[in-house]
Amino acid sequence: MTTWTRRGLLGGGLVGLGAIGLGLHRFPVALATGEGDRYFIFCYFSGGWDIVLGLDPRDPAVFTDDVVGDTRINVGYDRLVDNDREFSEDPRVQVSDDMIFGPYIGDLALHWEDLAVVRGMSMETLAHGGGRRRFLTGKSTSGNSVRGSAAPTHMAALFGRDNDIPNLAVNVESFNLDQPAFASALRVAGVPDLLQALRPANTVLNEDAKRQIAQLLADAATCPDAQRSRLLREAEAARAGVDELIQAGLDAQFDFGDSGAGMEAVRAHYGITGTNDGALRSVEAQGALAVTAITAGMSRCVSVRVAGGLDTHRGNWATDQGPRQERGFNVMARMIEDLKAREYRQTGTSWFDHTTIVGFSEFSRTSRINGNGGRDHALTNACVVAGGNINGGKVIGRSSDVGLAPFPADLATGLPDEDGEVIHPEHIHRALLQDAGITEDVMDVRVNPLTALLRDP
Amino acid sequence: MARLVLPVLAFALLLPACAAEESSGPVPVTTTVLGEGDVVGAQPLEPDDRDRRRLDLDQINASIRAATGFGWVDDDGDDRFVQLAATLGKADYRNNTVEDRSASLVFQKFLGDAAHSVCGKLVQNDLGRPSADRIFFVHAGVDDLVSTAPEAVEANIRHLLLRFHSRVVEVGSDELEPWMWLHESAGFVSANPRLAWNAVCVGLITHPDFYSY
Repeated sequence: MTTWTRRGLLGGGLVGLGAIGLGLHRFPVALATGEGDRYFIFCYFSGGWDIVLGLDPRDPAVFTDDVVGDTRINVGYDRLVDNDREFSEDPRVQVSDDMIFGPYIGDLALHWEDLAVVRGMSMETLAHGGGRRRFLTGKSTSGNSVRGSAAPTHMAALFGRDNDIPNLAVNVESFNLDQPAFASALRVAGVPDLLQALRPANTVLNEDAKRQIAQLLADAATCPDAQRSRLLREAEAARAGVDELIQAGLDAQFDFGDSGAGMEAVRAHYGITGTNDGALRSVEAQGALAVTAITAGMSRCVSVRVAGGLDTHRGNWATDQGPRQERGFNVMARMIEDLKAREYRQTGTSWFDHTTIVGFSEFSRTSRINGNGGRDHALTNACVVAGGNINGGKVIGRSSDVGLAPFPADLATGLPDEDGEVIHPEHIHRALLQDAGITEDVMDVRVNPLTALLRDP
Repeated sequence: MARLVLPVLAFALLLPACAAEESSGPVPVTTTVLGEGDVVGAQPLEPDDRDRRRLDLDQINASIRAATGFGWVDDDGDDRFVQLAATLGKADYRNNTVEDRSASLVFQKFLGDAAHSVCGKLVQNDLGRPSADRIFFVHAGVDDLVSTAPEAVEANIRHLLLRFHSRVVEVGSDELEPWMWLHESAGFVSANPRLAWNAVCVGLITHPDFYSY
């Protein structure tokens, strides 16, 4: 088993961050101040992650195949196929007495003191879309349809009115059923698309002519038929927002393919391996985008997909599941380092102190390895939370040692407790909102917050 | 530029009435007293209060191509709507199975980009065609202005409203006024009649009557 120390973090990985942190960034005019000032980054691992390889491992010496009839758990570390490394018999990564990760936690382990790991969480669904929407909204879906707005939408509605793009979602769904239109996510599929959205159209018309078109459309939007239509009201608000967004001139901050020294440092830090379209659509580029959007004062909430292809039902579990998770965890590590390196509005604190990062997936994978050498969908899940007022270095809840089932926990202490509650995503959302000063159940999820997540509830 | 501002504002004051109402409010409900043995028939119809829906991405792409003869493509001829399908919310049947048909900010931005792109080509191309083959300048020439040839401009705009919005507009209708105003004001601020028609084209494509039903 590998043991990480702080030296690993201090000895490397931070080169070049100074250059990034020194970059000029525009701040919103009317930011709230104080310790409750919070920003949010949601990191989605798409496809259903195997928590045994990452956030909720098991000791292979205890959970052997000989006792699988009792435990219903195949640890499976000895079946992993990875040409880039050799595994010991126990490849887990122990970072403290209480905190042990699976072999593919990657560089995120370096930041264990900043991480709260939630285990034994129940998702109540085995459908990809259902699980993803369950996590994002804190509510079970009705069929495929969500029954509430996504947590980032609520957060953007509460705190993001002064941001140019309060809610930015890159390759992640978002929903707005009942919040103001400005809180709806601007959804893009990657950095190149965001860049184009932020840049003016290529046109022969001058600004005055474009204003005449805008005037005609704005006037049409005042007509009774348009006023009666929700679609057309939203369309007009969005159309007006386009001009404001372009005039904000934000595009240069996301031009990660630029040849200047600043962007070169960004690429080096995040591991963006080029300036072509593919590199700029990579998960690493999405990590850079998220931190830039937050620290530039553009967004209050950013959701990014930092890992994909995790739906490994067959032999690709042994080859792909771990490395893909690890790549996502590494992106999260780079984001933490970047946020820590940037001072927050000349306060002496860092952006990390004001930003909460959530790593999640729609569900996890079965504790038993199936006949095809893969793992199927499982209800029990885990997630990792970092930043802000998060109670770092803490493991909250647990999964059972028989089949990795959800297990109740005390919401205040995070300790397993048969008299406690099984943790759901909404417990986490409520805690994050409470941390930002919202104690009411604004998402109408009707559970108490998981205050064990917070250093100072 | 200040010289231009006042006339433009004056044009703005001329901004016109709305298009004809599509629904005229609640339909009066008639009641019938039923006696024993009376057969209960169909209930009175409620007014049509369904909200508009946005065309999906394929429909918009096809509509632009049908109306203008051009697609929104990059320098290599690749379809930009296809390239931006994920960003514009098209279902990929892996991560999402339902297309996002909201008229979102990203949708508005890229619809505008598409309109500017194809309208430039449409106007340019149409001017190079014989009159009989034109699809844009059917009743007016590129240099016709409201001030010099109002009938021709109006006739052409009526043709364009039918072509782009499937809307039959009578001669002299109030519905024509915003488009006449756009043609005149855009021509004035750009000092170029051709760009006035270009602006009308962009306005037609970015108008909700083009992308919603």
